Amino acid sequence: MSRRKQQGVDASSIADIAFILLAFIIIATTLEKESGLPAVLPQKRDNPTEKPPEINEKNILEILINKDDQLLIEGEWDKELEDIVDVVKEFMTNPTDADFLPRMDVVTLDECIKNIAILKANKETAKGAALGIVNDQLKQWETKLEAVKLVGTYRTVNKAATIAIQYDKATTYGKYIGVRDKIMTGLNQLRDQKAMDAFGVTYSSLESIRAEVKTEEDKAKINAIRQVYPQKIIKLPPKEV
Amino acid sequence: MSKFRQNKSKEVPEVSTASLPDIVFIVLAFFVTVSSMKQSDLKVEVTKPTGKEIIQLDKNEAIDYINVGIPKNKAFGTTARLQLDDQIVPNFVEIRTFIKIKREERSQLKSDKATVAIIADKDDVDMDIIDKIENELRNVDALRINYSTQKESLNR
Repeated sequence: MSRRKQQGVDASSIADIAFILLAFIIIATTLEKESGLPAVLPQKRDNPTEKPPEINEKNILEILINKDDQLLIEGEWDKELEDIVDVVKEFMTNPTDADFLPRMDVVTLDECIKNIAILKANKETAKGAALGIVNDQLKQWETKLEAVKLVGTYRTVNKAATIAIQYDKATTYGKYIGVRDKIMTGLNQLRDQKAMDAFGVTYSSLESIRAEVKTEEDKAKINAIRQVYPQKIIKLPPKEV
Repeated sequence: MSKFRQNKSKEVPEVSTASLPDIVFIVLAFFVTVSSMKQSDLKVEVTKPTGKEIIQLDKNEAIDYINVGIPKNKAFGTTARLQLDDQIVPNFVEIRTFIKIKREERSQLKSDKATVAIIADKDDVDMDIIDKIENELRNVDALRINYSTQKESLNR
């Protein structure tokens, strides 16, 4: 037994070392996803002198936040954040066809098919800028058609209806987000209801499906519901309030 | 015959753990590639606003972060300031260069479609600042934004 076999280095501790490294990396990295309220800014207008389109008063739901973070909804002071939910729901549905609320459009399958046919015929002859407009309209009606196919004939607020947030320069960001959040609460409640009626699931549950497992069908459903209750929120340029 | 007897007398051999380090290293490598390091250190104090209707952004989407809040280092003053990447920048125009640089970095990768996440303090930031940021973003045509918001705690 004079020649001993050379002993290998004990490798069992390498596993431990690797585990510690693993633990460190897991702790140091954040898998936290970014979450919040998404928004799309309006495009910068090339020609600022160009007059903005006429706005019909009843198509605008004005929510104002003053420099002390107080709320004014459609001309009434002393409103609470909670009040926004119902105001938004009323504005988006106009349940009694009231005069002071935006006009509602009813979108039917026949109407979509008819308009698409007309636009396709127009497309043959249109040129230049006119062609662009026709294409835009065609796209709009095709999305409407998709929605009608999924949810049936629906009633939606007319295209010009907008929720406008007016604020002062000194309004805090937190309050502004609070208002936006409540507007979304109102919208999402309507969307949930619509999705429940049409598909038997809520809109929020459709939306919370993880991106990897979301099917085309789910996406189409989400788009259809969004078509019925669109998110149209604008920020008005600040003024002193 | 003797061979068989020998085998019977032996105990069940232990499962070899020699491959364990390899397995762990593979898991480790997986985490290193998949996860992204915490985005730059915050040099400004930010308490995100809270809300209920929060949507999680798609993981595959590129996100640029704009942080706004009162600087932690008082040398930068006591009013809300802008932090892009690791630096507190002096003015809002810097946003343009910031977005352009980010776009170039991404141009080789997937689409340059990106969302700008505005991470701002709920009390110390006023709408004037948000407006100026958004104006700069519109100047460089970065229109998809996200107001970074925390989930409202249920115990209210």
